[in-house]
Amino acid sequence: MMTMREIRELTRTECLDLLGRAHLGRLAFIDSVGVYPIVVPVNYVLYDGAVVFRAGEGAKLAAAVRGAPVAFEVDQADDTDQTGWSVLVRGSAEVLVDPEDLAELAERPLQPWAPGARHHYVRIDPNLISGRRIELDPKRGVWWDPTE
Amino acid sequence: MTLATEPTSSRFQTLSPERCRELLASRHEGRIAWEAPDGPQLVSVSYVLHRGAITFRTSPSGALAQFERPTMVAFEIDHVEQDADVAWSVLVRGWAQPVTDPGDLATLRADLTPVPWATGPTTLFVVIHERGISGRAVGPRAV
Repeated sequence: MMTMREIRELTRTECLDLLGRAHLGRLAFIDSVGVYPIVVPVNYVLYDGAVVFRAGEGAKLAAAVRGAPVAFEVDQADDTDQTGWSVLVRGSAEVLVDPEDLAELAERPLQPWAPGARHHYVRIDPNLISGRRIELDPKRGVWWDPTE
Repeated sequence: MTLATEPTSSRFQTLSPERCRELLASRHEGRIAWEAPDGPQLVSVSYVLHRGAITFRTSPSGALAQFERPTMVAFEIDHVEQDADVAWSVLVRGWAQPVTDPGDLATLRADLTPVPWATGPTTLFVVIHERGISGRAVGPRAV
């Protein structure tokens, strides 16, 4: 059975506030051949108004080195008021090289999702930040079950 | 470069395609990414497996209207327990396109709830024809 749910667009300030409260997001970019999209979960921090994550020598770093356009999404169900929210950041990735930035980020609790060396910090220059909040069905403990 | 000596990479597992499909069947929420004219897009969708293929229902308006025509996509699901140090993710690559078979559409209309933020009539049913599947896991126990 379909139920109507309220959907509300979030302001940029609200989006940044929510981004600052979470630490896991998903990063999408197009592979270096320019053919397939890739999505990977990454831990991040909000640093100076931008999403920053760590990268090793793999595809994420390659995307950042070439300044590739990326999309980064964070969502969460908020059990206290039975709503869920989703924030999307779109922009270009860049490798951080400023020693002051790197020193400050080294103090942050930013653990990579996957094991292995992650020496580089990548920042998403946010061209666009958008978000929405929706009502959740109180009968469900998760966002939704599409078969119910 | 002291971080390079971390022995953690031994905990990395590659998941078999069979295990990836089991994990896909055990979930109903994922993220779909594709290359839009203005850069990559990434949207969270609720899904079911219909005849073994990822299928979701939406409105043919907004970003997901892209799937009215065949589109190369990546579809990702994951599970992360920060405290338990356990995490896995599965990535499916393939083509997303509208479901057109009348029998499939009838079944899906009856059974499949739209993605939660669809606005307007949710008449677009999208299926992903898989071209590759991969998964990886991190943590002290098998996924």
